[in-house]
Amino acid sequence: MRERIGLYVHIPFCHTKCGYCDFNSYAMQGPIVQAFEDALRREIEQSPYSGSAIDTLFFGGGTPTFLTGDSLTQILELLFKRFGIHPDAEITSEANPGTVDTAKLKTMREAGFNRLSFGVQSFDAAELKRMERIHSPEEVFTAVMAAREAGFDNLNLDLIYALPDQPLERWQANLLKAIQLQPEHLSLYGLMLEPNTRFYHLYQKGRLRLPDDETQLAMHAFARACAQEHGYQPYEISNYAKPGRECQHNLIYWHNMPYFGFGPGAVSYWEGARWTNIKHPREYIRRVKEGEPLGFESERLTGWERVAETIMLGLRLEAGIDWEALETRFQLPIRSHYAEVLIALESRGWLQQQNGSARLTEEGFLWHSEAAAAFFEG
Amino acid sequence: MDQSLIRNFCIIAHVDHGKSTLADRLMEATGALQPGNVEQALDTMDLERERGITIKMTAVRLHYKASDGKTYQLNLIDTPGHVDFTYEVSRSLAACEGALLVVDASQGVEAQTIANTNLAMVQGLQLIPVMNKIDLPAAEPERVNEEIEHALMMDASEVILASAKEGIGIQEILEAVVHRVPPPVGDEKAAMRALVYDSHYDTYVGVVAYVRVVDGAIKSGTKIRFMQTGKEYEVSQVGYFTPRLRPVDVLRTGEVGYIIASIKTVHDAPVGDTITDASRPSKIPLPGFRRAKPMVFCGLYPVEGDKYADLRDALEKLQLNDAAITFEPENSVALGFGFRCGFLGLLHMEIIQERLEREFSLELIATAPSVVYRVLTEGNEWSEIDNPTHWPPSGSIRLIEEPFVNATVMVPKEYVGTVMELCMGRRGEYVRMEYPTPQRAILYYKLPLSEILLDFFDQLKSRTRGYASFDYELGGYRPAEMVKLDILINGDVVDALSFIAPKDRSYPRARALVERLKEVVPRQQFEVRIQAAIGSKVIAAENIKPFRKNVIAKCYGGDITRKRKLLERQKEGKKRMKQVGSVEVPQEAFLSVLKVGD
Repeated sequence: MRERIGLYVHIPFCHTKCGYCDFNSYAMQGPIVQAFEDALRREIEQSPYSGSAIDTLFFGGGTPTFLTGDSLTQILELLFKRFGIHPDAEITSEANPGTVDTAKLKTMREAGFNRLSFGVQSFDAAELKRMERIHSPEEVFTAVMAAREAGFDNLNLDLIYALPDQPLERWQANLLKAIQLQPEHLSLYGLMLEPNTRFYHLYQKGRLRLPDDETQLAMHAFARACAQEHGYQPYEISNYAKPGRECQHNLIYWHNMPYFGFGPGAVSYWEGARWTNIKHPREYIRRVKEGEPLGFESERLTGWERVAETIMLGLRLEAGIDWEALETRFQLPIRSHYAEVLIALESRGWLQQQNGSARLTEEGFLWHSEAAAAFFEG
Repeated sequence: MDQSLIRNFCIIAHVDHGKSTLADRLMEATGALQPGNVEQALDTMDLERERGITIKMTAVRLHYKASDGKTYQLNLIDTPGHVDFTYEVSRSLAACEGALLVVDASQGVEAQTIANTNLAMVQGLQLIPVMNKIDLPAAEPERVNEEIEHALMMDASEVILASAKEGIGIQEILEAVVHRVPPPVGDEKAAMRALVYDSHYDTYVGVVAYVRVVDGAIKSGTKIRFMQTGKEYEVSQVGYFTPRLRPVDVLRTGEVGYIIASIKTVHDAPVGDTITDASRPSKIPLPGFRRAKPMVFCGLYPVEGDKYADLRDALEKLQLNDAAITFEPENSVALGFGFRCGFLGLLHMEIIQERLEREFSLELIATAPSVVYRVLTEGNEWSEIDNPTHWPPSGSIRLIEEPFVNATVMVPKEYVGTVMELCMGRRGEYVRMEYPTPQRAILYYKLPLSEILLDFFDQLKSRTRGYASFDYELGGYRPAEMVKLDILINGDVVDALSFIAPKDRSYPRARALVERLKEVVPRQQFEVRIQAAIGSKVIAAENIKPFRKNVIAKCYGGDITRKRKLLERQKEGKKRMKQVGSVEVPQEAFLSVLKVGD
C-alpha cells in the first residue's frame, strides 16, 4: 500500500466541557484564543517537516468552529503554503452544530475545507442537556442545511449510544433522524466512560445508570443493520459510509500510516516514532513563544511493536489485514510468528482468514480488545 | 570470671514499648556502643526494624563498673517479641536469672507483657519492672503503676521510672540488675552442660550456636555432644557477643556466648538442646526441650510456574537459619506446583512470605492457612491433617480434634462487650475476666486456633479501634465437629480453595465465601457458577453474569499509544490469573477464605 500521510490540527477550545468528554479541550475565551492562533501558526511555520506531501487534513478539537471562519481560513492557507497538500486531499473540520451558520461555512468551504464532521451525539433534547451539549436537536437540521448550502457534499454525523438511561428505542429514533438528514458518513460510538470525566465520577458513585450489556449489544446490532439498510457500509468498528465516502484521514490512522499533528496535545507519528505536544494551551503558547520543544512524551516503537499496533488497528477495519502487504511493509515473517494466535482466534469464531487476509467476524468485532491483545507481548 | 560477678538478664516488653532503644542505652552506658552510633544494635534484620519487632535473638556482653566498685559481666539476652515464638522466648528466659520488664508509661500493660511475665515467673526469674517513656506528655505513671500491681502482681515500689530515649533511669536500671538479679549458681566442677537458646547460620563457619554454660566450661577443642540429637562435634571457636562475635579461650560456668563447631544446619543444634562434653558427658539434660513444631500451614505457589525451582532454593536457604519452617512439595490443579509450608504461627508465616518476596524477588500466591487437625478414621487410626485436600471422606471419620489456644485480651472496659461478641462469633469459650484497674479489663478465652487464622487480629484491632492487645499460648487439642467445604467453579473443584469449617457454621461461611468470590472473580465471556459444597451437597451458590462484549471504543491518532498500553496491561494481568477450567481466577480469590469469619 502506498504510504499516505495525514495532517492533524488541534483546536483546544469549547464553549463548555461535556460530561463524557476526555479530549484535550478547555472552556476558555478571551485573549488566549488569539494567542493560541498565533502560536499555532508559528508552530506550523517552524515545522521541520514542512514541504512534506500531505494526503489528508483534519481539524479536530475541542471545537475547530469555535474559531472564526477567517481564522480557520488563515490557518489552512498557511498549511497550503508550507506543505505539499494533494489537490484532491480530503480536508475535514469537526464542527459543533451550535457554532456554525451559512456564512461561516461558506468561508470555510471557499478556503478549501471539503468535509464536515458534526458532533451531533443525540437528537433528544434531554439527552443533549445531560451531556451538556450546547446545541439543540433543531440546530442540527439547520447546521446540515447550512453545510449543504455552503457547498459541502461530504458530511459526517457523530452519534453516541448507550447514554445514561437511554432505552433502545430512543437510540433507534436518534439514528433514524440522523439518516433522514442523508449525511455521507456516520460515526456511531458506544459511550466510553473515561477517567477524569464527570460521567465517570458519577458512575463510580453509583449515580449514573447505563444500559446493560444486552441493550448495548442490541444498540450496536441495530446500528449496523439500520445503517446498512440505508446504504451505509460499515468499514470500521464504529464507522459507516456511503460507497467511496470513507474518511480518508481516519483510514491513515487505522492503517498505522504517518501523520503530523499541530496544536496542543496533538500527536505525530513519523518513522516509527510517536510524540505528543504539551497539552495545556497556556503552556503550549508559552513554549512556542520561548522556542522551547513542544513534546512532552514520545516513544520509538520496535518493528514488532509496530506490527502488533498495525494489527490492532487493522482488525478494526471491515477489510481486515492484508498479510502480504504487511509482511512487505515490515519485512518480517508476521504470519508464521502469529500462527498459534491466528488459529486460536479462528477456533473461537472471532477471526476469518481468506485469500491472504484476516478480518474479525461480526462476533469478533465485539471482542476486538481481547482479540487484539493476543498480538501483543504481555 | 567469678560467677558472683556475672548477671544474665533479658528484656521483656510489648512491641513498641521501647525494648531496642533501652538495649542501645544500656550498651552506650557501659561503653559497648558509641552513643548515637548504630541505632538499635540488637535488631539485625531490616524486616525487624520495619515492623519494630525482634525476630532473631542475639545477645551482648556488657562490662559495668557498679557503685560497689566491682566490675560486673552483664549478659543482655534479647528475646523475640511475638506470640508465635513462645518456645524460643522460654529458652532464652531459661538462659537468664533476671528480666527487665518494660511497660510503656502511656500504653500500660499489654496482653503480651502479661504472657511473657507469666513465662518469666514460672521460670523463677527475678523481675525488675521499668516504666519507660515517662518523658512523654501522655504518660500516666499512676495508672500504669496500678496496672503493674494488679495485672502483673508486682510491687509498684520496685518500679524504675525511665526514658530510654532521653537516657533517664539508665544508671538505676544497671544498678538494679547488679543488685536484684541473682548471680548464676552452676557447678564449676560438674560435667559440662550448656543450653542452646538460639542459633544462626553463617555461610562461612556454619551454625553459630548461642549458649548459656550452666555447669563446667567449654573451650575450643572440646569434643561436644548434643544430648537430644546425639550428634558430636569438635568446637573450633568459643566467644561472646559485643554484639559482634568476639572469640575467647573459654566460656566458664554461668557465662553466655557462642560456639562454632562445623555444624551444617540449625537443625543439628536445636534450640533447647543441651550440649555436654563427649569425653565426660553429663547424664541429665537441662529441662524444657521441645522440637519446633509448625502449627500453621499454607500452600505457597510461584505466580509464574517456572519459578518453582527458585522457590525451593529460597525455602532451603531460609530453612538453614530457621528450624521452625517445614516445606514439602505439593501440587494443586488450580495453582500448579508449589509447597505446603509449616510455620509456628501467623506472624511467622507472614514474615517468611515477605522475606521470600523481598529477599528472593519471588511473587507468590498463598492459599488460606490451615491448622493441624487430628482425625480418627475407621480402623482406629489417627492422622494429622494440615491440608484440606487430604481430608478423609466424611463417612470414614469417627472423631476430629482441633488445636485451641488460651487467649488473653487486654482492652479498655468500654470494648469488653465488643471483644466478647467477637470471641463468641469465633467459637470462643469464656474462661474469666479481671479488672486490674477500673478502666481496663483482661479477658481470658479458649479459642480454636483455626478461628484466629481467620482475620482475627484485624477484626480485634478494628473493632476496638486499635486498643486491644492480644496474646495466646497453645492449649492442646479438643474434639470438634468439622466439615470440609469445597468450592466449585463451573463444576470444577478448586482444590486450593477448599477449607475446613465448623459444621454448625458451614452454611454462613460457605455463603460468605461464594459472595466474596463473586466480587473478586471477574466477569468472563460465559456465565460462571460458583458453588460451595460439602461432599456432593451444594450448600451455597452464586452466578456471575457473563459480559457480552468488550467496550467498543473509538481509536484515532491520539488514542493509539494509550490503547496499545491498555491492551498490554490487560494481557499482563491475565498472565497473572490462574486458570480453573476455562475460568480465569485472580490471586486475591485464594485468600478470600480468610475473610469469612463473621
